[in-house]
Amino acid sequence: MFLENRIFRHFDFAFLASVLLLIACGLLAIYSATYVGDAPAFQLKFTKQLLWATIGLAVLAVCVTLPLKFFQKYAYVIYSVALALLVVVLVVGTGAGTRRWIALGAVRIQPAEIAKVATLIALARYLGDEHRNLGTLKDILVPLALVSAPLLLVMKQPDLGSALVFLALILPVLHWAGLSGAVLFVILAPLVSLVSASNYYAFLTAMFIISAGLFLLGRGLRFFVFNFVLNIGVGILTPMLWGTLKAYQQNRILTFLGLVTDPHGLGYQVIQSKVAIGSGGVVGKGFLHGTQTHLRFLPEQHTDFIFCVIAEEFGFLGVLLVLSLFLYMLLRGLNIASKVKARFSSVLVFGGTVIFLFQIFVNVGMTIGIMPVTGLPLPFLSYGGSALIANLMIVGLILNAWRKRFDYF
Amino acid sequence: MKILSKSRKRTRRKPAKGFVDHGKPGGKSWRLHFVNFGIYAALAGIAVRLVFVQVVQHPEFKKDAEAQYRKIYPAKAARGSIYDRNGMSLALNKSRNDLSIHKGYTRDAAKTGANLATLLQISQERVMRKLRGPSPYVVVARGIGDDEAKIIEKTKLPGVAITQSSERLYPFPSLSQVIGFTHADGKGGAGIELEFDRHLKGTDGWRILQQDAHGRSIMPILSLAKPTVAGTNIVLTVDHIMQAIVEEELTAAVNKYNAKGGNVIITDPTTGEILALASSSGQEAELQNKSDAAAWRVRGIADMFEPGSTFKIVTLMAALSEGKSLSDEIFCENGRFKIFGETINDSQEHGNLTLRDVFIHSSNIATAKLALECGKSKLYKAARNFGFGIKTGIELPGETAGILKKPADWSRFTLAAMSYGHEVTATSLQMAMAYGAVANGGLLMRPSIVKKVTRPGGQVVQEFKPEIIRRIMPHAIASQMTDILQGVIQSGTGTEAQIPGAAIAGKTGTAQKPTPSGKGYSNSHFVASFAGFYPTRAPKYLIYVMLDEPYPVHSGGMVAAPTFKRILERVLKIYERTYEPTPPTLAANIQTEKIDRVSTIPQLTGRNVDTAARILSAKNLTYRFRGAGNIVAQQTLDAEKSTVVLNLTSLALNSDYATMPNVVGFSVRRAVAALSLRGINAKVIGGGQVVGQAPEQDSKIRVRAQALLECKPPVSIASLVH
Repeated sequence: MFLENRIFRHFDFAFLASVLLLIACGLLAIYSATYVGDAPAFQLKFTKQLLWATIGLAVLAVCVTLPLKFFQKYAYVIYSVALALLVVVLVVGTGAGTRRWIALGAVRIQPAEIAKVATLIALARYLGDEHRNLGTLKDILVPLALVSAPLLLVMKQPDLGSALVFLALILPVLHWAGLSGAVLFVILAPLVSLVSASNYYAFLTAMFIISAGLFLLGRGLRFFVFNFVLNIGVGILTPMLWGTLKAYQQNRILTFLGLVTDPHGLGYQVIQSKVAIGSGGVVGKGFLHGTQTHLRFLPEQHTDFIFCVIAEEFGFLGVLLVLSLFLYMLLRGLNIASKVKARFSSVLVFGGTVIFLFQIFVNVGMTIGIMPVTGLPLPFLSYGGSALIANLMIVGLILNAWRKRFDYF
Repeated sequence: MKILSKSRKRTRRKPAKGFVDHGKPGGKSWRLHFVNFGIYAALAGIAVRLVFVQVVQHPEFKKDAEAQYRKIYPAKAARGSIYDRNGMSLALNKSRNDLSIHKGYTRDAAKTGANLATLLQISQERVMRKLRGPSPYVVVARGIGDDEAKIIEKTKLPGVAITQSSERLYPFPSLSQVIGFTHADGKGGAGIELEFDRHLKGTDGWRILQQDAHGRSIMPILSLAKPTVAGTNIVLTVDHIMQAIVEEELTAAVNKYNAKGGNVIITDPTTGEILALASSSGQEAELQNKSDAAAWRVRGIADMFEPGSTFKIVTLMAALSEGKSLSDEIFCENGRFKIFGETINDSQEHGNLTLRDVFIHSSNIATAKLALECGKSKLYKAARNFGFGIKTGIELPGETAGILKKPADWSRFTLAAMSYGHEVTATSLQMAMAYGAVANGGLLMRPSIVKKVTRPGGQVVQEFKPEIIRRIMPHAIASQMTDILQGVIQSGTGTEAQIPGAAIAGKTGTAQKPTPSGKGYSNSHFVASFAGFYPTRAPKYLIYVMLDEPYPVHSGGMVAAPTFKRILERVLKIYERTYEPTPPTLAANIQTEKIDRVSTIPQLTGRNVDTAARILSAKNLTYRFRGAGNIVAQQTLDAEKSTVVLNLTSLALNSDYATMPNVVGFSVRRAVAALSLRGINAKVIGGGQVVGQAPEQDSKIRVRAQALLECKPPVSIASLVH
């Protein structure tokens, strides 16, 4: 009792409740997506996910109770173990044409999900150092390296969706840890140049804005000229390199970026997903009555496209509830990140929130056709044990940080 | 390093604390605002997009979804059947089982195919070849047996499906042109199938099924279905047994007399019902081509020809109506008569002949003289009255009217020529109906081939009653004409039609065919015909026989009359217990006033119940039935002699047993026809040629019982070579 009292003092019940509600929504959607009949024997995926949720909550409890100091201390050990697992999966991994899972008997674990949490902890450990100065190149390069290792290993599986999570994590976390706006600008500017290079006027506009930005930063002529030439160079080289690519390679890239819809492959999935969501309307077709879901028009409906199931059967109102829960969770996460005293906790909580935000935006964006199809699950809702447990670990760490928000360590 | 030099200077050694708001309650750094904005922007973007997709574009996507999962399946209405007057199926639907394999759903397509091939005893190689094709959906076998289909459906092999399709079957191998055919889309293409298409076709429906992403149908949306309404059945007046007799005898006659072709029609002269309608040409091979309208025409109503002496009844009626007496004598010019620059010849030289003998011996010269006496308009009127030059109105497509020129268009010689059936054309059916009017006492009947339209349950939707077009002569004149026509058989040109003891009336016709140039007549090409009926009083059967270009024997009396005789003999054997030399009238027994009003009660023995009832009610006689059946076995008067009592029986009574003929070695078509003639039904197993029959030849089989015919395709030359 004594222990529990201490745990639940300063405990953010609302945050946990929002997460539990999201998991419940996910279970409901999985039940519908994999529904073939009323007998319990048919609800194999639902039962499994329920089991994963239970295990996940136990893991969450561990993450809440263990001292944060422990995670900080063993951050690099955890990170190394995760990297080792990523190497192991490349050797013994299973999956349809990929090596993503390590099979342990009946259970398959996805090391990429573990690596996500481990990398987050490692980043927090490095950037959470009170004396870290993001003005030095070393302080920027180390976090980059911490993220690059798992990123490259996950790309090798290949699992592009999960790899993107690592990529998406780095800039916001550096930004949160104090990277100056100027450096952020210097890093982002060439990306803008690259994308705008496809169109003459867009490129001119981008160059104008970048020049103005560089001028306003006022770092001297050499700084200005170097960056200006870099951006112009990117803008000129991109179309040239693009021209050397074969048509199918170009198409593959454009399709990946979601700029071209391919009605048979990924494009088909987006069309079907939009039809499912759109036909759901405001109030939806009712639980277990989604035609697109139950007649299997939806691809990957219990995993990547679980959002469509909710949108089809519960309509815009149901989707609004899910989005509200997500919004609350994210804002609360950001709030916690800004309130906790310890730098380690702050980076940890912020990074976790960013991981959630990225996954939510990319996954839901994909189902409604504003993001390319990358195969990223929706946190707490999509079917899948490893992802659920990994996400609940992060939730546990966030709750732990909130509990110890006044502690420095 | 250099690019970052300035920022390094600014933040040198100072911990970057800006990102955590230590001890600044309510204070928030720009970094927090930036990320906060990012979260709102991301979720707001999603929400806005969702409003667009789920609310604004909802109707569009809803339609898209429905288009994907709803599939409208047209449901074809069952087409009505066509029966003969005794209920024999002439056209019916047979559902056919097809076996198909969807390769995508089988566990092992090759193995499934091999198993099915073994089960169905079909070539494994052929199944495999089909399965190797590019299409994922393959129809492996068509028309497999019901038993096999049931077994296969029970096994529930994945990817294997039995689908039903409907096939139009014409089990009775004749009457092809009359019944017609249906096109692949189920629409009638010829004959009754075309003329009564709107009755037969029924109303198609549809139903909506949900289908999944793989195109498999899931569940019907019950509220969205339009049920089909089955087509109605057509019951013909045709008797398939008579039809078979007629077809067989016509073919025999055409072969025997080297004719180009010919038509035979049997009608019931009192009702105008067509009992049989056949033509010898238009063989199976020609009928394969469904677009060959010429092959599919019903020749008995579509082909017109100059009838020759059979047309003389027109002149005879005109003469009798003018008050000529049967005993009036006419000089026959000793066989050669020149008039208006033309010469009329008689086949035999005659001096003076009575009017009766003129027709009995068929003198063209005397007939022409009679016509000249009557005058153009009288003859024209008589011909019109008999229905020449006008379509009879039969319920079949493609009828022609024949050509009866208006008197204004006649040459001076036309009147003479027309009197013996030249310079006028008619169809076989018109001839049959004209003789029917003589036979039934002066009434021109509208011919009918459809008796009634019935619902699938047997309920009558529409019944076609006998229709009198008009009375064309008084009863007395018709009796006189019948008497003359009886004389033709007894002592005139029609002696070849005699059946000992049977009262038959008829007339022969031998017409020279017009030359192809249209000028004059051929001396080598003839149309031989015979029209006759039995019995002479209250006739039941009127048979018209026409043979085109018989050679070398070509006269109607020598060619058509014997054919008539053979047909009538066989019809009588099946339908009449005894011949009726003098049809008994019940007049002597009639005492009540009611029945006194009519001179005779028609002879109804052997008639169809419906026909008997119709005849009696037409004559205002009350009647009742005793027993059950479709044929009148016996007719009596009840105690008060006010009601005719008809004892009914089924057809079999007349000859309970038939003798099984040998049909081994026959084609199925021929075998079925041969059995039908004897009133035996056939169950055909297999196809091609009959290799076995049960019962044996010469054994007795109950009429209407089923004989088994085992059939195999004929041995091909190719298989003998190996």
